[in-house]
This record gives sequence, C-alpha cells and structure tokens, in this order.
Amino acid sequence: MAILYLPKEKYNAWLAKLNDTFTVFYPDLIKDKVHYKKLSKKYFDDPYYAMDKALEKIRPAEALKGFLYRPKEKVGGLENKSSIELKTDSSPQIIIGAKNCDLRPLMVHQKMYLENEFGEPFYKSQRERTIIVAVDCPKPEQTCFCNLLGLKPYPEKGADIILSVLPSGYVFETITDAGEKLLRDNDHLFQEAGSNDIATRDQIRNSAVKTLESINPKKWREDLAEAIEKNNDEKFWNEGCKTCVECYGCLMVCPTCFCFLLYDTPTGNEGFLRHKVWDACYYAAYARVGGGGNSRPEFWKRFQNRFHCKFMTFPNDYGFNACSGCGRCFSVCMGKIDIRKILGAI
Amino acid sequence: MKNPFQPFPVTITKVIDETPTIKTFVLDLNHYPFSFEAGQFIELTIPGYGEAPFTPSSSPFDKEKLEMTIMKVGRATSALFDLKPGATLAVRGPYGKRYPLENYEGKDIFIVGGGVGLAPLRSLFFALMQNVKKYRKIYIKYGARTPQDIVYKYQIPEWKTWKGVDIQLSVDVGDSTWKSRVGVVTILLEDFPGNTKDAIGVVCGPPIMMKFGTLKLLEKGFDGNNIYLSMEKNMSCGLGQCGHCRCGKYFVCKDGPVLTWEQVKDIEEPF
Repeated sequence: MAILYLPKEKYNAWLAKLNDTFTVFYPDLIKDKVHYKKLSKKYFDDPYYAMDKALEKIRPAEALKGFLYRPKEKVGGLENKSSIELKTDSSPQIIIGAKNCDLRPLMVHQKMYLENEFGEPFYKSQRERTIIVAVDCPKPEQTCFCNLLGLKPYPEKGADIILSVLPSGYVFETITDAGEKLLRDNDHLFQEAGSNDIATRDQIRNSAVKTLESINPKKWREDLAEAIEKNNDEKFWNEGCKTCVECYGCLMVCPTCFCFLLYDTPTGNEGFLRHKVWDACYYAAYARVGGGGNSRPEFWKRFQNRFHCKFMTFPNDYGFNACSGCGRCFSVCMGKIDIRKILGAI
Repeated sequence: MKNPFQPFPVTITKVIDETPTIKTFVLDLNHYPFSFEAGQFIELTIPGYGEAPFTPSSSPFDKEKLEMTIMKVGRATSALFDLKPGATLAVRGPYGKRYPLENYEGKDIFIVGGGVGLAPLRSLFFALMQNVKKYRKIYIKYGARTPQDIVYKYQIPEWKTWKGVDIQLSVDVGDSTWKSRVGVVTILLEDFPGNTKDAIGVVCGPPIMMKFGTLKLLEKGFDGNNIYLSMEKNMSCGLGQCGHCRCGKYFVCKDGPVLTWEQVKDIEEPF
C-alpha cells in the first residue's frame, strides 16, 4: 500500500474531485465543536472556506456508527398480508475524519452484526458502501482516554485511508484497495511522501501519545473483567451513578453501543411497518418481560450492566473491550460521571 | 436480500379457550417452509402492536400448523386476544437452542410445569413421545393456581393413558370437583421412584416456581447439568443482536432460551 503526500493548497481540489463521484462527509467546526458535515459544491466557490480546520481536533461529536447503523431504520413489515420488500442503498459514500476511537467500535459491530449467524443486511450494506478516511488525533483533550484501552491516538487499521496532518500538507497512508484507488484516481494531485514527511508524522504521533499519557497516567487494573464480575457491591455502583439524571445521553453518543429496539407501527388492513431504533440499557423497561418481571429493576443494576457489557462480557467473549476511550459519554453527561474514575476505583 | 427482521404472514384458524386468561391460537403457516425443534422459540407479530417471543406448544413434527398457547399479560397479548380466526399474524424464527434430547435417552425425564409454562413443555412432551421407547419414563408434574387455570384439560386425560408416561397435577387452591393434590407444584417433587442423580428435570413456569422447583430438584439429588430451565427474558430480536435478553454472560435468545442450572447458578437472581 502507498504513502502519499498532498500539499495543503491542493486539499480542496482533492475534495472537489471526490465530491464529483461520491457523497462526502467531512469534519467541520461548528461553535467550536467538531461535527460531520455533508460536502457541498457551494463550498468550493469560496476560496477562503477552510475545509481542513477540524482535522486536527479530536473526534467529531457524533460517532461514526451513525452512518452505518442508523438511529432509525425501516427493516420490515406487512402490506396486503404479504411481506414487504426493502432495498438497501448501494451508492458509495466517503467519511473523512473518523479517529481511532471510532474505528475500534467497528470491530464491536463486526462481532455483533456481521459475524452474527443471521447477519444484519442493513448495517452490512451501509458498511460496504462506505469508504473511511481516518485521521490522526494530534491534540488529545482532557476527555480522551484511548490509551487506557490500549489504543493509540492515530489509526493503524480499520479504515481505508489514514490521513495525518503536517504543517505544510498531508500524509495519506492507504490501507485497502478502495483507499488506494481513491488516491490513484487523482494521481496528479499527490506525490510520494518523503522520509522527512513520514518522520514529521511520526514525531507528531509520538507527541500525541505523550499527551495522552500525561492526561491518563494511571492504568486500570490488569484483571478488570474479573474484578467487575466479582463486584456486586450495591453501594459502589450506587455511588457511581448518584448524579445520573437518567437522560441516557451517554449511551446515545457511545460509538460502540449496539443495542436496538424493534418497534412496529400500524398501516391499516392488518399491515405494519417495522423500524429498528437505537436503544439504551439504562431504560427501566429495557429488560422488562411481558409478565412484568424485570431482571434489572433498580437503576444501579442497569448502570452496572453497562460496565458488564463493555468491560467484562465483551473482553471475555471477543478479547477486547467494547469501549474505545472517546470520552463522548462524559462529555455529554449532565451528572459529570467520568467512567475512568469508576473503572479506576474497581 | 435475506432480512432477519422480516416475518412471514400466518393465519389464525382456530382459537381455543384454555383458561380465563390463556388461549391457544392455531396458526396456518400458509405453506411457508418453517420448522422448529422442541425448545426453540419464535417471534410472533400482532400487526400494529408489535412482536413478542413465544415458544410453540405444538409438536415439532407437525409441519402444517403451529399452535401457540399464550397468556394475556400486556399490550400485545391483549390485542391478540381480541383476534378471531381468519386474522393475520406474522412469524419469525425459529430461534435459540433446542432441548438436547440425545442426552435424555435411557433416563427418567421429569417435566415440571407451572401455569402457562406447560405450553413449551407440551411441545417437548410431543417430541419425546415421538420416540418414547428411547427414554426410561416421562413424568409430568404440573401445577396451576386453581382447577380452572389448568391448560390442556381436554388432552390430559388421554395423555394419562399413554405408555411410558406418568402425570400428576396439583392446584394451589382446590374446589369441590378437584380430586388430585392441593398445594404448589413442589409438593409433586417429594417422591422420586429411581435414582435422581442421572434423571433429567425440565422446568418452565413463573419465576417463583422456577426458583423453588429448581431448589427442590437439587435437594432431591438432581445434577445441575441435568436441570433445564426456560429463561424468561426480553428476547426482543431473537438474533443475538439487540442486547435486551442479556443474562450474565448469556444472550438468552441465542444461548438459550433453555439454559441448565449449571449455566445460570452463578448469576445473581437468574429468574
């Protein structure tokens, strides 16, 4: 695979080329926060419009998963007493700006959906039509803790292309054939990256690693999964969630959370439409059964369940935590619940 | 596209009133190629009201129709109870693991049911009866609240005449017509004819009955690996994807819905 260099002044030209063929989303700054924005032709009319201003920031506010696992998706139904046929979108899209903490979650969804014996055709089709240009994270912030999950603040796999920002331009490392093609199709804009460019990239990356180590110097215990399994201390979990207002924002922004709810709406004449929507295990009714029984009626048990799922069951079953250290959960938390502190105290 | 969320339409052909709160719905599969094995469950859609998991109560060997014995407990089942023959429902599945009948061969099998919990056990019973000679003896220990709450009243007398089968019933509260035992179902679990160490216990019923039924079997010497429990969890998608039925390290829809006591004994309040 290739390592190419793109001068800064050619970045917009590259995006314009991509925009001719693909639906492109890129990270932009909106009120000092990074959000994905759909690329539009009109941006190219403004020579001062900087489409790279958010590349060096931390992960976008929205998780990458929203592009692949939609918050609400039509997944079935009956019409005139027959099953309805649904089509999936196969038009290609490019997502620029995913950080390493948004790539780990793809492994979670790979296990839950793509490697599931029944499959998940809606997720699969979104994944197959998506080309991911992941970007290094040179300036981790106080909310970042990917290092505690064994991740680096720059991607090495899991995307099609890895983009690194240098003072004068960009280094693009291709990981997949689709990524390679995306650059080679616009060969005239790129040049081979020099050893100096790669050295600069590595220097910036190492500096980001050090920043993260200074933000999160203390590792969690080695036997975290086992310790969580053994910890059934109601007091401990109640203390951890005492400021929670049960808004469930943490679970809605989480890039790894995979739970969903299937719900039907009537369409008349014994017909219905079925939707799959994001769900959250904090909801009181989440585990409730028809007869009224509920295995997690108290909130502390539902709070504990989140840790069971991400840091016990997942590593036990698949060998990695279902958390990537993106810090979105406590960035949105009104109760300022920092899971680092809870995991550190176990 | 193979869509695991899409059910196929079925038609209600008959509704049998079992008790004041339980009905059996006989469903015509409209020639859809569907089959299940005892222990597996389906997701049943009541159009416009949603979907819920149920285990069929008919024989897995009956390929023409599916019988579902269902208790009215919530929104979807209330809507279902208003439906008449001719109405359309929809089915997905089957999901979950079957009872490992090969492990039951040559052994005494104790089927312990409470209330509507006899529904999935009837399916197992029919499957066992298909090869009844393979098993030492099949015992049914069934308890209900009152004589009116007993399901399959019209079939049980016939089952009692079948070879290799022993059926005992109890009710919590009897009436003037009731001639059998009075008390919770565990009173039927006091005396076992043979060695319980290698006997099979299959339990399905309300959580409290599951708990005390299991404890009684353990007390009587049953091995935890030989006690099969129908776990009632919120098996929403049935596919092992949506997360709702998580119970300890298990997704009950995928790893169950029948789990052994050995599998769930370390889970806090498994029922």
